[in-house]
Amino acid sequence: MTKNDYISAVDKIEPSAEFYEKAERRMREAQRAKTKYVNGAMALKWATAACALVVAVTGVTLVVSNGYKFTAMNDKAAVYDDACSLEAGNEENSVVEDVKEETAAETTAGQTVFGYSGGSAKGADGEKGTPATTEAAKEDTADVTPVENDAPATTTVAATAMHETTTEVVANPCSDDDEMMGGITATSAYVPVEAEIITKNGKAYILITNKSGKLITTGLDYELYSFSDGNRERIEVAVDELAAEVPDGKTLEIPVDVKLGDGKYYVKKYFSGLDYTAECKFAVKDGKIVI
Amino acid sequence: MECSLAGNEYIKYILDTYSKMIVRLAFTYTKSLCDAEDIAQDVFVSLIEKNKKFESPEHEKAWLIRVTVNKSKNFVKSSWVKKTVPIEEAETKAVEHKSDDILAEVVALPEKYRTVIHLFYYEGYSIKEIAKILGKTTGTVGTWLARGRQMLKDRLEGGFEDD
Repeated sequence: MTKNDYISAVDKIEPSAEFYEKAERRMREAQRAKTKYVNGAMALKWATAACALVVAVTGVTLVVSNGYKFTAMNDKAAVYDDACSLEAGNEENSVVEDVKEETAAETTAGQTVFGYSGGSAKGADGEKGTPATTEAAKEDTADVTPVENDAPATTTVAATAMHETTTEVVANPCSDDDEMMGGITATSAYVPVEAEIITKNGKAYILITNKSGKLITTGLDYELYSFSDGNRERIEVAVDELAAEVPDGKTLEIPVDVKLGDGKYYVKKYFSGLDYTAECKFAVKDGKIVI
Repeated sequence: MECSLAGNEYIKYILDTYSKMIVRLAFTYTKSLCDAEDIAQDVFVSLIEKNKKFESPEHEKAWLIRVTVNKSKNFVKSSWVKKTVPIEEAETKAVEHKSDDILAEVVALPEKYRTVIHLFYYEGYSIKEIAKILGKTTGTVGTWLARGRQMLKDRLEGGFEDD
C-alpha cells in the first residue's frame, strides 16, 4: 500500500450536509455573542489575582465561576478553559498549552496546575459600549483595557487570556465558591520556585528558578516594596507578567522596568490563589542593585 | 487574514475551505464521523470567538490544525470516550491480523504516530512544518513518522510504501 491509498481512503470521509448547517449556525451564534462584549468596568491587569485558580488533583471536576474548569483525569491534572480548553495554545507557547497532554502527564495526583486569565472588562449589563476584542498583548498576558466607568466590583469581565482564549471571569470569584476554595487550600503548601534579583545590563531582573520540575504558575503578581526600620512602602512597578513553563533547574528572567533609588527593597512574589509568597530582599546602592 | 471578509462571507470561506480538512483530521482521533464533525464545529466556533488574526493562509491552516489536534485529544481523553469502546474496535482488537484497510490501520496507530502520519501523507506537510505545528522538535516528529511508518508496514498486507 502507498500513501495514495491512504489519501484515497481519507478522501472518502466527507462531512455531512447537516454538519455544514449546524456549523454555520453555531458560528453565527458565536459571532453574535461576541458582539455583545462591551468595554466595562475596570482594568484587570491582575485579573490573575482574582482568577488564577489552583486545584489539587483529587479526582473531582470543579467548574468555577470564572469560567475555568479544572478537571482531574486519570490521576493527571489538566486545565480546561470553558471556551477553548486545550486549544488555547497556538503554534507558539502558551500557558494553557503548557497543560496539554505532555505536561499534564507530568502532573500527578496531588500536584497542581494553574490556569489564569487577564483581560479586558465587560460591562455588567453586557449591553452598551463597543465590542471589546482584546488581543493578548503578549503570549502570556492579555492586554487589559482600562475603562472609565464605575461599574461595581462584581462586574463581570470578559477576560481574554493568553492566546486569545476568551473566557469570562468575575472580579472576585474566589470568595464565593467554596468548592474552589477547598481546592486552593489543598495546594497551599505547593512551593515550586525560588526567586532572586539580579542586575544585568543596567536592568533589574527577577530570576525565578523552578526547583521542582513542575509547572510554574503563570498567575504571578509582583509587588515591589521599599522598606526601612521595619516599615515598608509599596512601589508601583511595571513588571512583565510572566507566563511560561520553566524547566526544572532553569531560570526565567523577568525584567523590572523601574529605576530605583538607593535603599532597601524586596520583591514579594504572590502566587495568585495560593497562600504563598516568595520574597527577595535586595538593596540599591549608587543606582545598582546589591543582592 | 480573511478579516476583510464580512462576517457571513468569512464563515462561508472557513466552512468551504477547512471543513473537510478538519473533519478528516479529527476523524483520525475519534474514529467516528459524528464525533469528528462535533469537534470541527467546536474548532470553528473557537475561531470565531477568538477573532484570531492570521498572517497568512498557511498560518490560519496551521492554527486550525493545532486547535483540531488539541480538541481531538481532549475528546479522546474525556471520561465518556475512555469508558466506551466501539463494538467494531473491540472485535478487531481481539484478533491480530493483517489488514488491507489502510485508514483503519492508521487510526489504530498510537496517537502521536497517527497525527504525524496524517499530516505528512495526507496534508503534505514536511517534518519541519509538522514540528512547528505540533510544537515538537523535528527529531521527535521524524522519529514518530518513522515508527508510525514501520508499524503500518508491519500491519498492512503488502506493507506500506511512500509511493
